[in-house]
Amino acid sequence: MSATDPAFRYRNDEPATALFTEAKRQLNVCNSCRFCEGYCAVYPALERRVELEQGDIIHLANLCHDCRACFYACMYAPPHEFGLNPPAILAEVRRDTYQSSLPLRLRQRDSARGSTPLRLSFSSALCCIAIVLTLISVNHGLAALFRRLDPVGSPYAFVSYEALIVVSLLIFGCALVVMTTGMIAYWKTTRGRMADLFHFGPLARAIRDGATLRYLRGGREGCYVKENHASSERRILHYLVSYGFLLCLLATISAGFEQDVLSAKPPFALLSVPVVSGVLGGIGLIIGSLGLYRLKRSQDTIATDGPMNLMDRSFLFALATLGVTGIATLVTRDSTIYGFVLAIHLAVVWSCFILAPFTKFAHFLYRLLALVQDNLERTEGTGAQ
Amino acid sequence: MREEPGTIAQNSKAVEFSEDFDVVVIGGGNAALVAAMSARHYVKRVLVLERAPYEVRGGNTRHTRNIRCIHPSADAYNTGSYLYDELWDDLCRVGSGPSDERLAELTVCESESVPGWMSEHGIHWQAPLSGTLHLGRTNRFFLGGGKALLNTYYRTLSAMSIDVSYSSSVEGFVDEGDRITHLLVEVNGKRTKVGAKAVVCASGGFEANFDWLARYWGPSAYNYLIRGPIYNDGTVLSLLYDLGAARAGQERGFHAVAIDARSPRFDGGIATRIDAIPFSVVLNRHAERFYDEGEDLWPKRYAIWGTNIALQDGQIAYAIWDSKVVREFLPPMYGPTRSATLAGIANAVGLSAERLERTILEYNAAIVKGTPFDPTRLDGAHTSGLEPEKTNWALPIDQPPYYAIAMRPGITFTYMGVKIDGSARIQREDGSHFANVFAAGEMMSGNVLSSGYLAGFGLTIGSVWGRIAGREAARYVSN
Repeated sequence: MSATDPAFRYRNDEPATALFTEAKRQLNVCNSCRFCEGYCAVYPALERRVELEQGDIIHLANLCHDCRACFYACMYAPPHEFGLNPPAILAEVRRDTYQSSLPLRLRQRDSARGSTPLRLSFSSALCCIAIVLTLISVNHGLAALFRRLDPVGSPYAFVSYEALIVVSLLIFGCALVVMTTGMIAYWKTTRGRMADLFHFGPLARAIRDGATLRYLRGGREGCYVKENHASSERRILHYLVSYGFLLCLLATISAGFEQDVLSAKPPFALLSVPVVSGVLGGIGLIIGSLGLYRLKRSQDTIATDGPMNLMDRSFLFALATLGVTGIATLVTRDSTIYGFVLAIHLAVVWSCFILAPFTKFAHFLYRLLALVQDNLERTEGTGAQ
Repeated sequence: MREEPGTIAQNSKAVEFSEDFDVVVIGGGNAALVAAMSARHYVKRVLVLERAPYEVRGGNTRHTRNIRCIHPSADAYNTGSYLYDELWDDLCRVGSGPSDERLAELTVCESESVPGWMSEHGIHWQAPLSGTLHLGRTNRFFLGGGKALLNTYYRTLSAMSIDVSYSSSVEGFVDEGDRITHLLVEVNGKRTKVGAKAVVCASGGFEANFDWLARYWGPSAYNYLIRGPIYNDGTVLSLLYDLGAARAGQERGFHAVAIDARSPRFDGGIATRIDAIPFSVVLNRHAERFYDEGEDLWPKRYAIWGTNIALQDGQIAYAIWDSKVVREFLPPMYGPTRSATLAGIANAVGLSAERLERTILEYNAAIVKGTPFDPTRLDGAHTSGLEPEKTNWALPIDQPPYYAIAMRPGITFTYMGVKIDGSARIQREDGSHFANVFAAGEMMSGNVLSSGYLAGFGLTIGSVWGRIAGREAARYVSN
């Protein structure tokens, strides 16, 4: 059999119970073998457990950073009859985690093909475009999209300050509520006690593990794209994306601070905090997400879950779009198409926040929780159950 | 079959067979790859003939995990020193001890420089963790286990411009006096003739050849399970015997452990082993006990249970335990049989319920009370008046649910191979030796040990002798 044999792919048509049964079968073999314990946090965490419950499997899946070193080191991987493929089965479980905040009906309908997030993205993007266009046309009519309005380079020439704040906070607030609910549900399934989340030591170590992308080092050689091809490329690109994203957030917050506290109205000078951090962040976001997109496309499909891969790529596409449209608002702010570019950027930002709780956007939250759990267990020296 | 010289394309890389190779290495596991790299440091054209297809390359090395080498002090990967004398003592306590003392001594001495050599050829190490802790002082663990080691070595081979031909089975030799001049190789069903100035044989034992095992073990051999790949059927070993190679090691010498009876017939590796024995009673198919389950700590006893079971009727045995001890060992990969009653257990595994209950009740009644159970040491909790006694960890089996698992002998490798000298040259029955044929790995492990086993020492033998065989083969070619 070859590496591209479709028989190696996972059976995505089965309900979640079958998914967990299969994950448990595979992880039981891993727990009897233990050769991979030097690679990452997942295998030592597995070894702390004797009998795997659903919550354990969810925890292990979200602790997995998908470096795939274990797959290429596995003598039980296909074509062996044990057919082990931890990166693929754990990715499938993670997909289940990310979508767990969706209403059940919506989730079941399309989750098998992974198309729920795609449909959602499409409809939310349409909604956001409609909202932006409505807000702009209320003041100036749609023709304003291609006209220079005073003050030149200020978003408030097109959308009123109040409307912008209200819509943004509304969307952001909803996303925050849904994500928090999701995180609480996740923690209850994987750990139980809410109070455990607030131990300073484990929490701090988890944040360090996350911020340094510790487990993207894989088995010291980095992440595997293909067999015999490991590198630190993925970790470096991921740094660009995460810290680029944080700089973009800083740009937004500092802009708010300048105008509301310092009463400095946009457009901001080229050497101001919002512009510099926005430009640097945007560039990091674009290079990082396009680089990761390219990696995702070139990687072996055997060690991935197809729909999760699609979700990953949609996410990276969205991030790149965020970066490109953000930079475009700066570049075009003195031109006649500024209104048009601004409308697109706003629609993209809002869309991303609407989608965040159900898609790969939320992965850093669940990974952080898994890292907290992992550091708690290391402190305790025993398993959760 | 027609012999076709020339090029056979496979794995998108063609190996040119028409010109003579300096050194041809037969085999694709650790010993073979080490021999190939070692030879390549001295000569240009080295070829590795791996019988297995690419996906399952590497022979028994796929299932290895650590190597036992002497070292003067602790470092990042070993928790303490392990000196010559201690390893030598350990060797002497294994089975019948070293076979050829001179070669065994050489193995121990040379082991010291092996980890450094491995690092230079790309191997990554890991600190001993929970699953490996008890071997952390004596054995060094490579990151990710045997397949990761193989992947690294094959990458290094490629970087060193060593040719590798997969699915390539050696079916015959062309010899001329005391030399082999050509190998007849079947590659994907096509036979080709490969010229070689020197040959290193590192293609393992014959454990996957049931007919051959049955010559020494009788028909019971067909009930054994083989822990490594199906390809270790001793083809090359048998060709060498045909050419007059002398034997080393015992016919019945093998390493065998108790594994789950449901394991695949080949290649189940480490995951199917059963660690329940010290905390269980083990019954044969007549529902009788037959060996002291608590004789010693498990790491010191696991390697005798393959043979213990091989000697029972039907080559099958059943470990029975109760709910008190389920957390003392790893749950078997396939899960045990479970029942609320002993009769239920007996029915589920197909033993006589009446006899099983009687054996367990007799065992429970024979336990000498008052010694506390302690799984971490020889606790002396024992029975009195049984034949055989259980001398440690004897707890009554009386707390349902009860558990059982059927076990068979899992053969890891065989010891009988070819006799070599200190330069890894294969010796002949008539007292002479081959000029250009060398051996490394399991194929010559019988020169060092002929029965029993010491964890991680198979890889030591393969690495030490792979290095010697490759170097000496190249030296022969250069002269």
